Amino acid sequence: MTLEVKNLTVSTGEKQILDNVSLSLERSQLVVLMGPNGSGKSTLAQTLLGSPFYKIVKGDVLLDGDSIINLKTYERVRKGLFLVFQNPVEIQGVSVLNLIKAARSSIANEQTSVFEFKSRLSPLLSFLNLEDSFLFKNVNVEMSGGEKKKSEMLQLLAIKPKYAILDEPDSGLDVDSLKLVAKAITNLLNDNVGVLLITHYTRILNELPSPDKVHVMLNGKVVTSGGIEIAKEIDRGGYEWVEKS
Amino acid sequence: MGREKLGKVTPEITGIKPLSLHYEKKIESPIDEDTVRKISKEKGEPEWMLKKRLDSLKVFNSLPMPNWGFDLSSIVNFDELIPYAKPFSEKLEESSKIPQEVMKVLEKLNIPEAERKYLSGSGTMLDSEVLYRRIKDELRRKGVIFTDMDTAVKEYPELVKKYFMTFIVTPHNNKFAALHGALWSGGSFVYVPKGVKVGLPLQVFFLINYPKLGQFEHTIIIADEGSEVEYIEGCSAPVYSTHNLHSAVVEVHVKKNAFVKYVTIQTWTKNVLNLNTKRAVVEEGGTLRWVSGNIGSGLTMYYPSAILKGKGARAEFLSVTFAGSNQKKETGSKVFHLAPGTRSRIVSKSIVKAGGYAAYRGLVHVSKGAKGSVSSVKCDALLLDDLSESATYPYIESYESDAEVTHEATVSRIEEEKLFYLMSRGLSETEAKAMITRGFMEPIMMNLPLEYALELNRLIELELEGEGVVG
Repeated sequence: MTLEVKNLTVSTGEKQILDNVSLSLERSQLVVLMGPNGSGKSTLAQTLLGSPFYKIVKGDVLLDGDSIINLKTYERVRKGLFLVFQNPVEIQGVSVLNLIKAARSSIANEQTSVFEFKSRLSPLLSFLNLEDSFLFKNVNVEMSGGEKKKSEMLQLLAIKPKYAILDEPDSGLDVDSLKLVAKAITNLLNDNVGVLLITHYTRILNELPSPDKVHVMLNGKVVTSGGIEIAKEIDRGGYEWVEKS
Repeated sequence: MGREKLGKVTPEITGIKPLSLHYEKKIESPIDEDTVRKISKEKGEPEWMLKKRLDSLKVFNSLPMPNWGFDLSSIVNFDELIPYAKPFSEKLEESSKIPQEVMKVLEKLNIPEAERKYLSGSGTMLDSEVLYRRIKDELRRKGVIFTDMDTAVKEYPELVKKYFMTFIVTPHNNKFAALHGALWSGGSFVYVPKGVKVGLPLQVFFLINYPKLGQFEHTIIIADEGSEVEYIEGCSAPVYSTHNLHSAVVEVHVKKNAFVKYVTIQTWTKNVLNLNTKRAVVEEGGTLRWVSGNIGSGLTMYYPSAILKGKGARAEFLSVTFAGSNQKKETGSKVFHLAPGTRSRIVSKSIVKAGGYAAYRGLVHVSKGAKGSVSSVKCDALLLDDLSESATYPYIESYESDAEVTHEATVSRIEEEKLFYLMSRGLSETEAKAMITRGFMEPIMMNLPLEYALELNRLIELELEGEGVVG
């Protein structure tokens, strides 16, 4: 039971962004992908979901052994992949509740009444320290940065995929919110969800179980891989340390 | 009035099948004095109404085609128009007398059930005449009048003389209003006495069955001081290769502190040319809320208007317009702020696809002395492909410096970024597009009775999926 990225080379237009990237993630594993801004982390995340903005030039992505690169985005999602966006777009006139309900119905083929559905989301809301009325906000519209992150986490928790890719769920969060996000990730890991955590900073790692693997990406390449010690070095010396070594 | 449950009242608009009905009377072209006299005689009208008709005819002959919007001279052929067709011989007070074939259509449109459960009164007009009309007894006892216009001419001549195309709409408004004045037939007359709150809506459904017919129903709604009423219109027609013309006139009087909600869901088939003149006058403290769903018809020019005559009068126009292939729409609202402290709000949403065209054309006029008046106009267009077009023609005439008029217009497309986001939540591309479109319409939908909103959503989704339901 693995999500495998094999020798992935990705471009947008004429420009190559990812160069021969490989990594793998098993269910209930925590794999961390670090790197400075513009190194290609988000490109990888979006490519795994089949973003229309990126083109796979070479390589493959296997989900539990089957190639998914020719599948449509929603087919990948229905197979158990999920992405927490770094900067999710605003969808006017669509409530968080409706989005999650539509997602549940297409991913899990679940048909429940709005009322029942709402009560089921209630504990997740209180876990994330959100009011019930949050469900009636338009998706990402008039939300603070922190609320957008929580909205993404709420969707992740409600959908509970096999493999979750979290693209900087920690950026811009205050300490309390950061702890909540880390707690949510920990719970998912315990629930047999594989987590690929993309982050710029090491701060969130202090709140999480020790990662199974840490990869560092620079200029579209995975330049070094290892355990938590890599993150500690980055904490000490920044990405310059990786560039030098 | 909230989002009460109304049943599937809007039609199952697959376009009705042409009905082979017996027509008691047909009056064919040309549009001249002789034809107008024939219609009036057929109805046994008093002389004063005949005179109104003949005066209108003169204005019709003197006016040019509208010089805005679409070039109608190449589309509307007055020589081919059938001015009058009357099915059956008598008005049917009870539904048991409605011929089965017609009853089946009404049932398909869910009208009988809606009438039983969700409406205070209901009526259906077929071609040129009203088929039946009913209102709850308790409302009748309170003095609410809900009848067809022809009956009103006979039973309430003083009210009709006073209000019929005398000042809200006159034949001089435009060539089609004048044509209407000459050929009008059927429609509604509603009077709500002082302080009476009607509660559940009144609904009238319009069917066109006769090929090439022009349907010219006339509606007058008078909401007396402090009263409240909600009035709903729906429509359906078969798909014909020839044009039908629908040219209604609606005149709404919102008296002091009264409230009128006027809902119109237009789902004519594409062979119907929809050229209406609908206006309201709102007196002191009165409120008008006008909700339109312009889904069907091949060519529509529709500009519901309000004259805010009394202090603190308010008008709100909310509309959603859909234009698909072979559909041209011009919609918009005109508001005249004539008194201090008046307020208006116009929200217009258009969805355009498959080479359709939708334009907003509207006017906000603020007269000198209408101090402290506020108006906001917001028109948004959503283009679903590169073939489709939208345009905005907002006119503002403000003669009062102490007034606030704002206008905002946006044109958007369904961005790939949004589609990708929703697809990453497991939605298919079609589902994602439908969700974005629904979200776009939401500000209008939340002002419709729930079942209408659902039905309108469904219609638009069918249109998005390419199974155009309006022919």
